[in-house]
Amino acid sequence: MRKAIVLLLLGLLALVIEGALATGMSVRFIPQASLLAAVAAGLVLRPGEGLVVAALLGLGADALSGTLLGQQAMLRILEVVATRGIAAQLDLRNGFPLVFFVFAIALVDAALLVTGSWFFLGLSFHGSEVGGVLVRAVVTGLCAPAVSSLAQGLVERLDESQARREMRLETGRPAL
Amino acid sequence: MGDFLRRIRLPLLFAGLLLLTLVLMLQDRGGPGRVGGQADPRSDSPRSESPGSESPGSESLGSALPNSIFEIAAPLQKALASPVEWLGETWANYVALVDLRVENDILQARIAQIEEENLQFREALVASGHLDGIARMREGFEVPLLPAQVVGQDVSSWFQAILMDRGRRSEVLSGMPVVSDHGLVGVVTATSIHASRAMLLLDRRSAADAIVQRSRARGIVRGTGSGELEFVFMVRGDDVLPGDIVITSGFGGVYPKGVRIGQVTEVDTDRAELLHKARVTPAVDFGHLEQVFVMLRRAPTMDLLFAGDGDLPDPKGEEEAGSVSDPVTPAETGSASDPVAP
Repeated sequence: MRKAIVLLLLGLLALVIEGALATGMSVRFIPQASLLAAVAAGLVLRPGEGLVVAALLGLGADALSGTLLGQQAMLRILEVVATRGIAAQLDLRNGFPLVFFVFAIALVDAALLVTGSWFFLGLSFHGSEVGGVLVRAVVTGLCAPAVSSLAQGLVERLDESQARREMRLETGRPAL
Repeated sequence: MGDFLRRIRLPLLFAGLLLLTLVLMLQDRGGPGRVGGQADPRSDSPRSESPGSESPGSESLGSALPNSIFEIAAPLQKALASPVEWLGETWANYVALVDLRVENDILQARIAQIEEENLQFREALVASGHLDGIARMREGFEVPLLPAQVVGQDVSSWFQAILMDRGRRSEVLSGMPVVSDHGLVGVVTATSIHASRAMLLLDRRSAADAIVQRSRARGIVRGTGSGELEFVFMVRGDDVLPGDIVITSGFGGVYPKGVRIGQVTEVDTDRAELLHKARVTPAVDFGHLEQVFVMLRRAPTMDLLFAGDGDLPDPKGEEEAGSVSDPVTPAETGSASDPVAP
């Protein structure tokens, strides 16, 4: 539970940083924080916790952007499920498979967001925007190993401190 | 039974969360005050952006949650945006100043020319006795402008919105126009106590009734989602040329009349259709928005649009709005609800 809360808070902080960065630079060069955090949650958290964290991260992203409330939340939930499904077949903890997977899922995410916006809001999108989406997917994919390692390290550290507490080692008494 | 429930716990959670997001989406899309998916092509209203609620007492789960999130996010983003802004300014002021001297000379010459023209126009106005009338009209239209800092941009690639550090405590309400010193920026779509979100004119859901300043040709400026705007519903034969300035017409009652929108860069005249399209470069540099101004008066049409969220118009304010400028005349209302071109 503690791991989920920490990951959620870090994910939300990343969203805030993403929004602040977007004031000074093009969005296409900024990685999708909530997607990366959702993938990390799918990899390092228990399935139920991962789903809840992803949903909350998506709601956070919805609140800070112009999407319908729930639109990105739904995508994050689906991404956690996809991450767990693929992680059962491939080692997604590091390296090229993770980069490629996140790149692909960022593209699928964009396609689903467009489809949802068309379905619910009747909005159409131009083909000229595909370039920007591709660039952002590449940037997001390249950031994925670092984010995954960070989440892995964080979870291990939290596990370790939990295990140490549970062992209750008596360190104050002399050995002999 | 317990074992069965344990086994289906995850699928249940998955289905429950999906259902919840779907309900939120439907609520956000079809809630009170929504305009619907397609724009009313003759009205300059936000097309389907969630307006959010205005009074804390009337907040539903659908609006309370995002409002609380950006209430917390706004000060954090404000703190984080400062170093980003500083870096941007450093770059703009010291690094990217190639050919500044030449540009400065050109601009100075241009200013001198414009000042001369301005003087001539003033003289002409004084001579025709219209200046006093215009000054009186300006006073009638003037509304208080509240400066607000842009603390965050939309984090999705597809939508265009900004987060501002002013909210309901500063009397900012959904539906109020947002401008900058260069021109029209957009409209406030959601507010919390200390922060608010505005949909930019660039967003696909934005539409503003506009006229060409030179020829008075009327049309709708729509966001395309990219850095450019589209001037549509222009009657064939209307006089629109590259370089023309496009301003708000005041029809539709959302944006006040005369706010600069941008400059026509290309007119699409090859089309066989009755209506033309033109590309417009926005007057505002949306990529580098730092400070904007919220016009602290909401049009009566916006009052109606957002009234469903419990934000009923202030009778006093409404009375003042009606007596001062009354931007929606019956003729305008007719045109605003007319979905067909002129």
